[in-house]
Amino acid sequence: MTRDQFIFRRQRDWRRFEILVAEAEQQRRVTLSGDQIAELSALYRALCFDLSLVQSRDWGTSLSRYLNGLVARGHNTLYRSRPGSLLAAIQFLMTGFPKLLRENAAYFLLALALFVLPGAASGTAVCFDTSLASRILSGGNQAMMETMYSESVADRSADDDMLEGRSMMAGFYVRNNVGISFRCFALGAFAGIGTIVVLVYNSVALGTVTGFLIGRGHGGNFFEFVIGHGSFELTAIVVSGAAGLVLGHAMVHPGRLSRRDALIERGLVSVKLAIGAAAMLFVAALIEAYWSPSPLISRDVKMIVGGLLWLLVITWLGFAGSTHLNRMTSAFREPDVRATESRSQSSAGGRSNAPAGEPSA
Amino acid sequence: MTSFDHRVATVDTRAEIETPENVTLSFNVAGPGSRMTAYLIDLVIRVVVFWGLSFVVSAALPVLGDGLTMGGFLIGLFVLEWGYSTIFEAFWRGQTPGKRICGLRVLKDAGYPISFYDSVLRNLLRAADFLPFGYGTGLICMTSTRRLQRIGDLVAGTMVVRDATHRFQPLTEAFAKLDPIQPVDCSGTFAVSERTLDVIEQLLARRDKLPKRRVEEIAEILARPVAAKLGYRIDDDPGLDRHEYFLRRVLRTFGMTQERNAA
Repeated sequence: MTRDQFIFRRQRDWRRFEILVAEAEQQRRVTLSGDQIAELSALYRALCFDLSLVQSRDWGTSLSRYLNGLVARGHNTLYRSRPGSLLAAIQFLMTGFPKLLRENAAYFLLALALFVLPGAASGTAVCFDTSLASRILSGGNQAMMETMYSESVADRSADDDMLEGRSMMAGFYVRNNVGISFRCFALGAFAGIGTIVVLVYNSVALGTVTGFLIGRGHGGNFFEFVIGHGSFELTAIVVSGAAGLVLGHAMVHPGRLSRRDALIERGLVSVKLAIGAAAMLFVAALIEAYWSPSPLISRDVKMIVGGLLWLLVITWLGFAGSTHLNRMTSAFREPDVRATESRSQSSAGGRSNAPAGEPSA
Repeated sequence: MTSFDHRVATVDTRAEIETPENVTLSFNVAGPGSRMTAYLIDLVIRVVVFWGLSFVVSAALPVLGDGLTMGGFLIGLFVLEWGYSTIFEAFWRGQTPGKRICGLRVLKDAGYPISFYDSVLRNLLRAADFLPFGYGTGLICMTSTRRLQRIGDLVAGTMVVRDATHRFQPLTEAFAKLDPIQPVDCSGTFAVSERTLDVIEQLLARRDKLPKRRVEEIAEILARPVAAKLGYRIDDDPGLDRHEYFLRRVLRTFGMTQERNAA
């Protein structure tokens, strides 16, 4: 068969393939019928053969480029990952994220130590000698802090309740805090050093403010304000720190994998943690903007609700999606159901983007 | 995961991928230049959107009040800063408007489309690639990886490729109308190799992009050895573009089979 005969015989199939693949590319959700998909995959396989034939016989640059392009498009279409859904996203946040965090508990604990210990040290020092605060906080900032927390939020009159400004603050908290957590995560790419710097810096800053306010006797007012959103906010910063450390660790010590493969594998884990942290910060921003500064809610209520929020965060991160818990609650169910359940869960948590053996369409 | 390439690495920007069907696919990896262009286009779009947003905000202020408008504005800024590339690349088949204009696309380094997580990962890590300024780290990283990946690409396992869809024009009816070269006009071997035909085809495919005289100039370089082998005298042909015309006839004569001639 000569090149021209080959083209003459095959080009009708190539055209057909172009049409089908263009249609499949159009929609996120494939609208091709079962028959069309079968046709597409058959044409794709034939096309792969055509391409290797052209490559081995040196049948022309433009022809092989053209077929290469077609095969690439087919490859792209047939091997694409399952489209995500809102349900999957919710499921991830409810159970997948806490599970993933527990699987990487060591990173979380390390990040927690980095976030708590420097702050605790500086906070304790400043608490006993508030003049030390000037090493971290400027005089202006100190005065501002003192006036802010000199009275309980609940003691402010309802007229001062700047409901107007709340939504603006919500926007500010989202932009500022999520930005910090993203940066805290991304800078982990530098062997984790960036993450450590961000964690320690924020730890010392927060610790100093806390110690300063306690030392000046405004501790109660301060805790009343922060206890609610602190549950989500502080934990989220530690989570994003853990994500950055996962990344940094893969870079420094890839273990048995090549550095490249380790980065890809751990990178997926780390970004899922960072996304979870961002979601937590959204919740925290809403609480911080609308609940914490409200003068209509008494201190006791805020303290109780704040405590419950901490309990919620700890329970969620500590136990949600736990197979251990599942086993306890499903003791009354059929054993078979339990087995299939845990299997489907573990497969759902796997890499979503691995090329499937069969077209996912 | 990509298998390690044992062949000698050539100095070009081609990424070769073996598909599960055992075919080697090649992609043209995009370099810093075109990616920077795409980035700048996206930057312009983001600035324009930012202006638009400010305009909307100033219009909405008296209606919705300070708080709500400013809150919305800040959220908008956040999305523009962190979400722009992420959302586009995740939901627009690996392209931002800038990448689309420049004909670039983000793909997994195994040649299939990126997932949502890949998009988030490679775009969040811009914060690392950007340091110390102007994507310095990213640029250094790109120059030291074969697929021109910045840190975000390495970690997400992605690459940016040229989204070239090559058109292929099989010899058409217009060609069939050309006079084939007759064996009686030739004193040499009446055959042309497929490789030569390929080169001729590549030149003719570009003829619309080149000045006419330049085409004829290149055609002459190409036509002389072919004619010499055939033993054909081009100089006897009329017309200023006789070399190009000769090449077209060569393609007509040797590129089209008898089967087609009969049809």
